[in-house]
Amino acid sequence: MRWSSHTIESSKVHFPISVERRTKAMLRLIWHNLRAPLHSAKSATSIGSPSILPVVQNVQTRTFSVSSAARLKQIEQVTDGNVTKIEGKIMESERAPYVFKEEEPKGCTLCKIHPYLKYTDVLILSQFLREDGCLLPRQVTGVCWGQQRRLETLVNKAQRAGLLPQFRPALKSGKPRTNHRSNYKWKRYNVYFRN
Amino acid sequence: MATQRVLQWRAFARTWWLYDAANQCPFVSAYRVVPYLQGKHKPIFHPLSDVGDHVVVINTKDIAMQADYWRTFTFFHHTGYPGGFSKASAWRVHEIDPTRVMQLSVYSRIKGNLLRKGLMRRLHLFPDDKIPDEILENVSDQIRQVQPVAKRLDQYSEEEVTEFPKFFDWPEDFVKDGYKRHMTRKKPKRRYTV
Repeated sequence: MRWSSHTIESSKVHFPISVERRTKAMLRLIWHNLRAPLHSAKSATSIGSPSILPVVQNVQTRTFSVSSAARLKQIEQVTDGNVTKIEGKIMESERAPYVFKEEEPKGCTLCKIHPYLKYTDVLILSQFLREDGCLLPRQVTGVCWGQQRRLETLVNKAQRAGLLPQFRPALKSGKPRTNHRSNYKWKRYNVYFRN
Repeated sequence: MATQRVLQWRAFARTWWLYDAANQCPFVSAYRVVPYLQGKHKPIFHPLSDVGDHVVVINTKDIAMQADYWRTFTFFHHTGYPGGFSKASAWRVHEIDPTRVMQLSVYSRIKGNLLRKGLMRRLHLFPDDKIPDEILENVSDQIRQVQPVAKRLDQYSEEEVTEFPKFFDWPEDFVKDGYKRHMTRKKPKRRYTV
């Protein structure tokens, strides 16, 4: 909401404390302005708009927007004798050339093509892994955050089921791995997951 | 057209079924196998009529348990005597006897009446696919597997892997092995000895 820099001559209202009295004062003002004939009905703001309210001295107002600036209005008031003209002019925003724009809106490929993956879709999951068995970053794969999290759980399941034997970290000794599965206690045996 | 005598023999014959338990859940397999032991797949079924069939289960050493169950699922036993309680995780039981887990799952699936022992005698479990010839001669039909077996990535051919549609192309400045640079440890790890 933008406060106009002009004051309405007819009355100066000091904002009272209670809400009731405040609303009554607002209504009184509106009624005052109604009685004076308003010229240029086209460009004038609507009667019930907050732009008719007077300036309050101790209120701080800030316009804050991160997205592109839309229609910007400035309220102008002109008095010619008996006639007061309150106009809401559409202005060009000064920040228009500096607004952030996406040249090519990129969407998540997984969401478009194959949103509901299973842990057994090994041909697809292996594309998103590096040789270590870790997931590639989203900046490389172009995948949205929700799908990335889903990939994490699916890849974890596929690895625990032993479906990705190539994507495992190298041994400290530097020797190549011989077994496609660990021989430790329960890890020897087959595992499956329910989708 | 066969005589009534032959048709009678055919209706009441005891068939031998084969079931491959490789990469199958033992509990779900038991759910599938027990009706054949009882004879519930036959229209002449009655629990006291002894119309159940034999089931030969092979590859019991390759059964698959869900998620963490190899480690967390425990089998309990009590001898009936004081201090006779014992328990063991599924993997320990499987280590000692690869057919035991399948046997216990089928046993617990059957109702605990006097018929149970008779049905268990008609269940034949083998850890591998090595079956004695006498039993293999009797086997006439196969029970369908319960779960689809997932394919490992190295079981796909190289063509299939390369020709599969890719979801993204590598960016311009991306270095595939770049992460290795950050993973090397130059300083030796300091070990504190007391």
